[in-house]
Amino acid sequence: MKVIGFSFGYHDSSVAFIEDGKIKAVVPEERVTRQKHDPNLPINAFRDGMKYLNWTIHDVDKIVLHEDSYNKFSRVLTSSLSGFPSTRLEFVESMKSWLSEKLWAPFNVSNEINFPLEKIEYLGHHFSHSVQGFMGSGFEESAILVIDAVGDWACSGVYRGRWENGHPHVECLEEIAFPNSLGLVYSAITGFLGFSPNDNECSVMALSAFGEPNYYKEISKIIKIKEDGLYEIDTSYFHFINFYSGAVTKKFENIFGKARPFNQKINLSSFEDIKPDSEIKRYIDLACSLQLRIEEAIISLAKYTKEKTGLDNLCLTGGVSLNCVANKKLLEEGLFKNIHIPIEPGDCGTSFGCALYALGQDMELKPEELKYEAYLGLKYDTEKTIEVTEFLKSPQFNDYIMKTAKQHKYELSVEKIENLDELASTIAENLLNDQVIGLYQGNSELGPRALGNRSIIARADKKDVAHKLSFSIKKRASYRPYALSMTEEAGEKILKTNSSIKNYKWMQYSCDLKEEFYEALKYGCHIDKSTRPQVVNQHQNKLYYQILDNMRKEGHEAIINTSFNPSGYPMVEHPSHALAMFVRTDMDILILEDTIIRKEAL
Amino acid sequence: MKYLERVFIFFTVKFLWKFKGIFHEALRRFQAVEADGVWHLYRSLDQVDNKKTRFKLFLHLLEEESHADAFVDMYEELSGEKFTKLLFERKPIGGKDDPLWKSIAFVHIGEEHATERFKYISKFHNNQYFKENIDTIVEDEMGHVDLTETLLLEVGASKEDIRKEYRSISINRWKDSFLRLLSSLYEKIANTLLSILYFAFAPFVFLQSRKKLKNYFVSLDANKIKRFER
Repeated sequence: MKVIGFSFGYHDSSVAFIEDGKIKAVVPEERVTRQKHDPNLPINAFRDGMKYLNWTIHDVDKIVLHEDSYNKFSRVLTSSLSGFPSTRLEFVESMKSWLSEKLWAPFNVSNEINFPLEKIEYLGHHFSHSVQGFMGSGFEESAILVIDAVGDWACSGVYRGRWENGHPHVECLEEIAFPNSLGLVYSAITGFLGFSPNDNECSVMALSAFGEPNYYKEISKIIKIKEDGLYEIDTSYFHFINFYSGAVTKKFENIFGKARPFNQKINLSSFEDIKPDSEIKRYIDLACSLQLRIEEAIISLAKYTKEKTGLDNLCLTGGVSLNCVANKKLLEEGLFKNIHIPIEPGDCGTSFGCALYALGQDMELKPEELKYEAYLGLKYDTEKTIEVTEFLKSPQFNDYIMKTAKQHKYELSVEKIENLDELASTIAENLLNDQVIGLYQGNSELGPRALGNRSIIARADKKDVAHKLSFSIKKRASYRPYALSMTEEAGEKILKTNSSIKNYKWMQYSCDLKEEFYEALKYGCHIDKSTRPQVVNQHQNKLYYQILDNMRKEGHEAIINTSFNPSGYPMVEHPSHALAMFVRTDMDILILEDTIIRKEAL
Repeated sequence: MKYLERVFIFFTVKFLWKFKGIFHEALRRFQAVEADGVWHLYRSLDQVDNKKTRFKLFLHLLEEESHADAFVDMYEELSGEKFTKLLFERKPIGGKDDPLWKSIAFVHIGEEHATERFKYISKFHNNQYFKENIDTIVEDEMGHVDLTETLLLEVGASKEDIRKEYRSISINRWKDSFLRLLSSLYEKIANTLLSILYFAFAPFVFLQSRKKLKNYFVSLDANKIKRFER
């Protein structure tokens, strides 16, 4: 039985292809269109996925949408009317997009791909999140906590999932309604701090480590934690309804001052202790206070969930569960024996959750067999891209390098190494020689974290390597830390944690490093000596494990792993995207499957 | 036609772009158009069998990608605001069975128009920083016009086919411009009607809406699978 799941309409749209309980592929539209957080109907992802799997539309038994557009429309309409008379613009703009397109989403899908409307099913937005958490967790029974910005009406929710005779059942216990949203508060303050909401929340999380919670009292008045463990937002500080007036209200500015201009320099570094100036200090203290309060609210919600369900397993999902620092605190709290966070807990991942759940109503499934690995994307042939490199020494190309890419002249050399052990040891050797390497192999990983198939890797003990990575390759702010990848064996040795090392396979939790290993891995850590580890075993990713193991044998317990994407773009998908980034930046080596492409200075 | 276009550009640069919001929005649009072009070029790479031709397309897309990024820098420099991308719906050119040369012809015409427009924009604009950036782009685009012309022949299009295709693309572009104009007119009408609707309707329901937003828990049960019935 073949089922396709669609998620789209707000941000990070995607398509999931499911066959008999196996996830065959999940394709985010952004990877195909090269538009980060692409919200459009994922028609390009759909076509590429169908072609890759060799499916035709006649093979497909049903299509499941992640959202109930009528329900969402009722929230949008209610909210834009409630602000009368100051929400005319919000009303006009939202009605234009809803009445002309969004409201008819199921019809649009049906027309666009020529699929009968009666075979299209749909779930509520937060229900999709809850099943996205549960399906694939491997749990027979579990509490589910969804913490998000907003979907249809809900912003957070507590659910219970269980299996009965091979069919999944998820029931809602409580849903907190709009505008009480932790995600919206975090995004609004992200905007106030000069970053892009719905994109740069990770920058706020990174900044929080430099600050002191000097605004904790004020933030606690905004995010109130009630006696029963639930939270309440004082919305008078935000423009959640009349959002064209800016993210925060005057009342917010009266307490926290003016918003940070986006181009105001933040001269902090994740590996050097630099004193921030007083203006920046105000912002990082706000970030720190916000982060602290969000962590408290999440833990409080988790306690509430535990009391309400009495279960030992938790599935945590929704966009807020991308906050790896809060997840760390939750793990340390030890409220639940097991916690599962799906590979992509944001909207992008709801496509496979809702499709699996809908499939589970029609056929018997086994929870254990639904567990998945991270590499759910598509795989591409690299041959045609590699052929292009033959010509990357022509005068036109050299002109381009000097004039447009503003780099030193170089020539490319290409070497094919088919033996995996040899390839891994060559890569490790080059890492030891301070080379920054783009690693492109196999199917792309789902979610915002690179896990060894679309990664840029480097040694973690050299300042100049980290600098090169930040300034000439990734072009990202130096206060944002990199993550570390390590083998399971190394993880056991260097991570300061009481929980199972297997929790760290998808970079969903930050974790402190044991003191004695910090100096040697400092450039993959944050200023507070924590890192966002990826712990790898042989079965998950053979080549990557071998590389890490070779590095370990040379005394490097872990290496830097950052996503393979130029600033402002999604992760590379096709090998030609990888080659383009390689030639446009100072990256030293590109691995395209079993081919090593090196730059040699002229 | 060209004269009319020049007048239009003069009017836009000298008068409309005095409104910073309009100028900045134009920069966002230029970025989006360049990025869209890059996407089409990426998609066409795997369709090209000749590796040298593939290389030329690749080099072309590298430069176009630099142009898209240059518009991001220009936007941030000139507006003092963080750039946010206009997210276009990506649509492949023509049908899936159309030969590759049709896509290249499409890109060629686009390059030709862009070169012309950017030349005049640079001529009429006063900001030195902006002019310098645009001039660099024009220089590249002129190269791209020649390149796409050569590529067309390399991928096997005949001169007659090319001539016909150019004409049909040009007509389509004018059609598109006309439709864009109509749609902006439609938008203005929609804005007015919806504003009237808002002021006629909202006074009677806003209190009820506010009351609904005061509910702490969601009362509607959206937690089941629903299906459409025809």
